[in-house]
Amino acid sequence: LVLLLYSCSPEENTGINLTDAITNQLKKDLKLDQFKNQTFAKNLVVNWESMKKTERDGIEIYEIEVKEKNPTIIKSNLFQSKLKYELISIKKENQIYSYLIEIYSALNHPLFANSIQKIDTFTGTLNVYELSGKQIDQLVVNNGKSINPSENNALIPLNEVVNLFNLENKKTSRVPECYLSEHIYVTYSIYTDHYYYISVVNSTVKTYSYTSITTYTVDEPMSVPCGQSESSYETYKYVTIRNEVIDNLFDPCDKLKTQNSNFAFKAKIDLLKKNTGLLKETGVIQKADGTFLDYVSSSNPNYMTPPAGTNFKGGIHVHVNPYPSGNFQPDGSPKMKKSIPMFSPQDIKQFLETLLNTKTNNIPIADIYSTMVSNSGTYTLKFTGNIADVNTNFNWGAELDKKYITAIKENGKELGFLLFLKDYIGIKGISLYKVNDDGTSEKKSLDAINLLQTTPCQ
Amino acid sequence: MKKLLILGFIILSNLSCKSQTILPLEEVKNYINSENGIPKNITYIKDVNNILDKYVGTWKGTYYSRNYEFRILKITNKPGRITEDRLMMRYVISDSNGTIIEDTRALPDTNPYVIEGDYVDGSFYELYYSGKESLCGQRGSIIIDIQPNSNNNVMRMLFLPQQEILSLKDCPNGSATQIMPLNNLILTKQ
Repeated sequence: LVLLLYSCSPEENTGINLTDAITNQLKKDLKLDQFKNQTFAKNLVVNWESMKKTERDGIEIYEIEVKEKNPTIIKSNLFQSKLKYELISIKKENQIYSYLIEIYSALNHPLFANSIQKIDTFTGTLNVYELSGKQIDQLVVNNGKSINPSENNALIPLNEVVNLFNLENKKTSRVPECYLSEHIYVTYSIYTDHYYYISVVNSTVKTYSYTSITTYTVDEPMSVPCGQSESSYETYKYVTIRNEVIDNLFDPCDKLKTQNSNFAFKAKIDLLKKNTGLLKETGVIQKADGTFLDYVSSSNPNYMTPPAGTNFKGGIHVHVNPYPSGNFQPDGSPKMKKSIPMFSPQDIKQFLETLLNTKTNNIPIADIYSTMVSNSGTYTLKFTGNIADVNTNFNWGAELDKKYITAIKENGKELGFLLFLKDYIGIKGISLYKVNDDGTSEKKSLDAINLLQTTPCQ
Repeated sequence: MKKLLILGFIILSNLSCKSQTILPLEEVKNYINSENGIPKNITYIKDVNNILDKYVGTWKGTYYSRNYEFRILKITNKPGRITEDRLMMRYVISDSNGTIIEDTRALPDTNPYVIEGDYVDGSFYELYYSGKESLCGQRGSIIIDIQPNSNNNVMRMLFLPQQEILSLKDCPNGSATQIMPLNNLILTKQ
């Protein structure tokens, strides 16, 4: 990964600032949550305080310690059992090259000593990644002398820097500077601890349920130092990570029953039902403590915004009845503007954001809801899936809007909405309920052949 | 060989028997916001009476010192399960100095910024518009109608914004400035 750093005054008085700037840039660029291999990424912890800076031959080198939450174990007749990691940034001629390195230390040699400055007697493989998680390739080090077997251009600066610290054996090296192309067998074991919330009198308690284990093995090509053993090499790598998920062991029907029999909630719904005839949307948002705040109207009657903050468990808003556009048909009747009496893509986005906020505001997912009131039905969204699946990384705006309009037009508001969710959002567990005037509810879902299925709440 | 020919003939005649079930464009409005949408057997929303043809062409007009040019085409495409005859509308909007505010003329049909036709409602045709700042309010319906006694040369256009809850994160400065006409814009066919 090549980063350009723009510096107005690259002299020594900016030294401290540059270190901070590099740390900040690395923090920004290291996107562990976007690594394709999440098992790998979730197991890494960066110790940002540990940055060491050194300078040699006009090249500045910054190293940061990276540790594993659960140590990976190597079983091999070539490498030691312990893996090491570090982040390294190299500033050369005003360009910065940054890498995440996974270090395999050879048997019968010292373990990597947490700095390439001490690489003199090291033998092993540096498995190098971009900060985006993309694997670049390997450097192979024999007694401190590094080679770049793949001749990957992105590794040239790192290879050069490793060799800057190879002081002693430059003259006397009799170690072969060779490498072998081998495979390592990586077994990932993912332990997922499942919890659920149970409601007790005035609060909810997080309760352990069970642990599921997923294991899979992949083999990865790797360049290794040669001349270490007479026999053929075998390397097995065991990566273990631990996850935690909150399962939604709740019945949304029960939640809706409780909600719809709550006096304050019912009063808000009744009030908002009277607003369906207004020319503008209205609504309320409910805080974690159960109190309601109005959405903030702007000077523009078409839009409102939520009050500031994220400590919300849901909201109720109105989609208004058809209203006159201001123009008239030749027979004198007004041309009506029809808004869709169903959650819009924007409403879905806000529901997902409310769900994501539970990660920081500790509101139980079972309590999260979004309700839309219209004169052709009141609907509520609940979430019964895995919170880890929730994200808002969609092409919101023009593209999804058009898909939505077509889905609703062709299939009607309920089936169209469910098909839109399935085809273009794809997050399992977003559930649609129609709330009837008598307080009963019914679940709207797709059956196996994508037809609308209505299941009354008992 | 003879058997093969007969088999081929049967397959061909079966294929040609699969005709499309047409819903005239004017009738789509009966299904807008209905419970079940357009009947499942409909495969083609067709402009059987060619009511869209009068809109096709280049239209120009001025609104609050802005110059509008709309290029309207009639196309047949399949945005979902149903094939539709509809209008596609591209536009260029400039200010009084000729500075371009927005230009979608070169965009392909599949681009979401191209305005797409939705349905006919009496003398109006309703289209769906989404602008680049749609998350901050640049979206909604555009209704157009041809003015009576104008020999199909004068058209009225009105933008009806979609009501939304805007996210403070997406729109820290509130709603976006609308570039589509919030009052009637009179356009002349070129």
